Amino acid sequence: MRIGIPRALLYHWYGKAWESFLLACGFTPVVSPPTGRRQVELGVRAAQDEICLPVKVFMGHVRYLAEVEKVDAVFVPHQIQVEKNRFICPKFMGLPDMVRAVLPRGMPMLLWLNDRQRHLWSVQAVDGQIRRKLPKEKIRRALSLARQVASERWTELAQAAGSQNQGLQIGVIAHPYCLYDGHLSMDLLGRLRAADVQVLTPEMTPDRWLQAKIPGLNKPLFWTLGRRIMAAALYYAEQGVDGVIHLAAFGCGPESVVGELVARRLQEHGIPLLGLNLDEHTGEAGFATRLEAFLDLVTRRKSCCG
Amino acid sequence: MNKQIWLGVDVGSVSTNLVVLDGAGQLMQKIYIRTNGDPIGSVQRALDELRHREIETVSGLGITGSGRQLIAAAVGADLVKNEITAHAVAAAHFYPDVQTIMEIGGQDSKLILMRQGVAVDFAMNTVCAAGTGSFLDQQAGRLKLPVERLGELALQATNPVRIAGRCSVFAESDMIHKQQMGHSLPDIVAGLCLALVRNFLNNLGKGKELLPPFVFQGGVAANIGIRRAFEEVLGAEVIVPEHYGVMGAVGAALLAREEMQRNSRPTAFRGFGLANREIHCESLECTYCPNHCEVVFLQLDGQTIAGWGDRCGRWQGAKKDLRVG
Amino acid sequence: MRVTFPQMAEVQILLETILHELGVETVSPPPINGETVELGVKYAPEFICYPFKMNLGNYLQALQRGADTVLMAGGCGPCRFGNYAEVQQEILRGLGYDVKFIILEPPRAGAPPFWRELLAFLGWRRMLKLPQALGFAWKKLNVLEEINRKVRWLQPREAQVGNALALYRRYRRLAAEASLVKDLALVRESFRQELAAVPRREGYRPLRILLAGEIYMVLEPNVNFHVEETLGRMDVEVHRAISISNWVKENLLRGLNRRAVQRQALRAEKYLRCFVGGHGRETVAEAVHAGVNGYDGMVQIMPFTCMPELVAQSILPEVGRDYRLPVMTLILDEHSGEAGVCTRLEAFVDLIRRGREKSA
Repeated sequence: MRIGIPRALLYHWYGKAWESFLLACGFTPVVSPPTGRRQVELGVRAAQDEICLPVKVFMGHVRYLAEVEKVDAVFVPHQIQVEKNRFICPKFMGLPDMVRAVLPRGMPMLLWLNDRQRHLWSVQAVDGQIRRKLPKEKIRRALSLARQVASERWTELAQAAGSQNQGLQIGVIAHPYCLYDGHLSMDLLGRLRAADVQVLTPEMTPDRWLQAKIPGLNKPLFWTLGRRIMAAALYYAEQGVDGVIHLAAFGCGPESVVGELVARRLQEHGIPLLGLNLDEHTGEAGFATRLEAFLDLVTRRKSCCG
Repeated sequence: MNKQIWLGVDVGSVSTNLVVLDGAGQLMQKIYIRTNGDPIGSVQRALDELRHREIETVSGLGITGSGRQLIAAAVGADLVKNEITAHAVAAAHFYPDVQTIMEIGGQDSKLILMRQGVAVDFAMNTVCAAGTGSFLDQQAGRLKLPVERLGELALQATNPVRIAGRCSVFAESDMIHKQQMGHSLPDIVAGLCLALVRNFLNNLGKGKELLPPFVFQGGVAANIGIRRAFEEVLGAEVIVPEHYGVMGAVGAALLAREEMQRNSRPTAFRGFGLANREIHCESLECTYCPNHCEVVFLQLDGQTIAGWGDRCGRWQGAKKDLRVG
Repeated sequence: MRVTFPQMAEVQILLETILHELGVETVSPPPINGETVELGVKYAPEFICYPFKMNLGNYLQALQRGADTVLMAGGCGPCRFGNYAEVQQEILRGLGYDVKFIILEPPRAGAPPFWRELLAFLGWRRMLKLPQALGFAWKKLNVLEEINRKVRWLQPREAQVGNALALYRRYRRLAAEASLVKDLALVRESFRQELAAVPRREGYRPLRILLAGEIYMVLEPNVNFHVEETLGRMDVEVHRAISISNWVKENLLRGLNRRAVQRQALRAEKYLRCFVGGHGRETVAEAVHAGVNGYDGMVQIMPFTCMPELVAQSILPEVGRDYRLPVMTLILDEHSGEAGVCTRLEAFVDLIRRGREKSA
């Protein structure tokens, strides 16, 4: 049975592990190709106008798998909580139901449900359709393999992605599905690397920082990704980066809140911040110009202020 | 049946249209006047023009368009209707089996879905200018072309360029970019038409079942390039009615006829003499409560005949007997 | 200490009543007007939802009028509302206001529980008077909501346009001003009598439209362009399940209203399998309710970029198809104009009415 995995949203964290899991269960995973204009167009046409770009792109990948790859079922991660008491966002919670409106009638969905009771690599996270068919032992083995692949992916993401020289050091804050999707991020990481910049990403932020209480807030932020961004920004500030780039998707709810808090903290530290907003209409020329100008500004600032 | 005359007025932000229908709903006269920010004046001019065209007694008058409340109070209307219903009724009058109506006017655009002659769903955009006539006007101005020529120019395109843009500002910057890359003018104009159509269908047509026959009306329907772009994207023939520019007014007249035939009463129309009477508006910011409503008064020959804009009803006199909807 | 709070439908009357009973000085922001919008939009993050901007505008107006403390609710996600106060606080302090925030957090938010916050704010002496004040305010809220509900029923049926609204304005003020339980009972009694005496168009069956969506946008008339009144003027009977009292029951007294929450979940289950924050699931449940009970249509109202309502909006067409229920979504923010909203509402009502005439 060919099961399509959309290369979008948290695929960029867990995707390899899902693939290994499905493979170990005896399915044939089919991953959609990296985001391109095709998927964006399919998604934009299917999803409500106001929804954020990453979700539209997810819909595009789903449609691509269903309509072009003609898979037998689509794997839809329904990740409400991937850590205790923190949510991703409401759109992740409603994802399967929004996908249903897009899928051709009768196309089955295989869910991967993470919430308060069903932890990341627990048996309960696996869709009942698989659980009923396969022996429990086989699923357990597949899951432990998946967990191992996931931890390798984390190590890979946490390794320095930029040049190691003593040039510029730029911290990038963004959700993984914006940052690691070359089309959505307009290859921001590649561009920075090409400019010989040392890059820090939220995935390189030490766990200690991610779990620490955020000063000045009465209560912990209740979004997993928003909290990571906040913590990463504070970590970058502590590391004395030369500048921070905030890559956000148009229409992202948590970013409008976290972005404001981050901007205020960075301003207090006197660290320049470039906010880049992504939507399906973002032009590449404007993006490149802004990035170049920002790097110039940071370089000049560094050379004159030491 | 004695001879009946039905008037319909569409007071839009860009143009004011007036039509005269006979008892059978056939269009006898149409008048098109630029509103230029003066809805009352333009309606007066339209009425004045009609006076010279030997129109007999009027059986009823319907008003639609964004200025409908104001003009209805000033002129004395038998029926006030929103533009969406008016357009739907007019299209269904000429094409009873129409299933999809696209209307692009100066400041807004609408998509109406019809089934068995009745509107079942609609969408309207007023926020974004990239799907409206004024966007085309602007761009034509920037390209130093009369807007009427855009259509024929678009037809000469061999390879329309792709213009991105959620809003007119972005679209414009992308267009400039394409010009500087050396694309030909027809290709750019055709790209512009396609971008407008794509924006229109993406914004308004989302998740809706668009079925033929398609009718395309509103001022922009004059532009053959846009019509072609619609046909290309929809993959079907798109009908442009003969009187595409005044369909709103036609709908208002038809609705007035329907209304008056249902409950026979004399028309409220104040007559063509209005053209020479003094009508003007005064406004004030009411400071009676912290709501600070902006109240408008309408005066006819120096006498206040209506007031509106207040939330509390303090200033509303003449409007009370008028049920809207 | 001069306390202010956001403007939202009956909330102002409610909080003023409670705080006056306790002897706390209040500074109410003026009703939402052009200045509120301007201030809110100017200082709030660009892509935050509209209610946040309006709250911020309210605070700024109240601070200019001498307030120094803001009373606000919190939350534990995933809707942005739960973090409103945190960000608003930073913005106001950044603008140089020395303002104290009292944030009433639900127990699971990971912040000090609300009763401790309340105790610090009120002190023991006032805290003891609190139950009585709350009880009175609750009664007042019920009277206010009854007035609203009954006027919405009357408006499309009245023989002469304008009576119902006049009645509404007068009795709303009387109820708001009542300071004794006895007065409140009198107001209610006399309202009922007057309402019954208003001449009606006999036998008229108005269209019934259900209003649902994001609670702030649904309830606050000054941001939704008085949608209830406007629909009423088009001879539509407006219903809504969303109200301040229901919000209190669902959020503050969760234990008491568990059955209602479960009922909502059950109704929506076929279309939306889990809670999505805010009122997203309730909106879907309301649509099912409207479909089952033969409403003529439903209007969903939400602020631009509202996450839970966007999820609901994506699903509503499916519900509408299954129950043949016309559904319209109004997405509002500072760029929305009254003319556009009214035209849409009128066209929507026309569409339903003409469809019904045709099939009749």
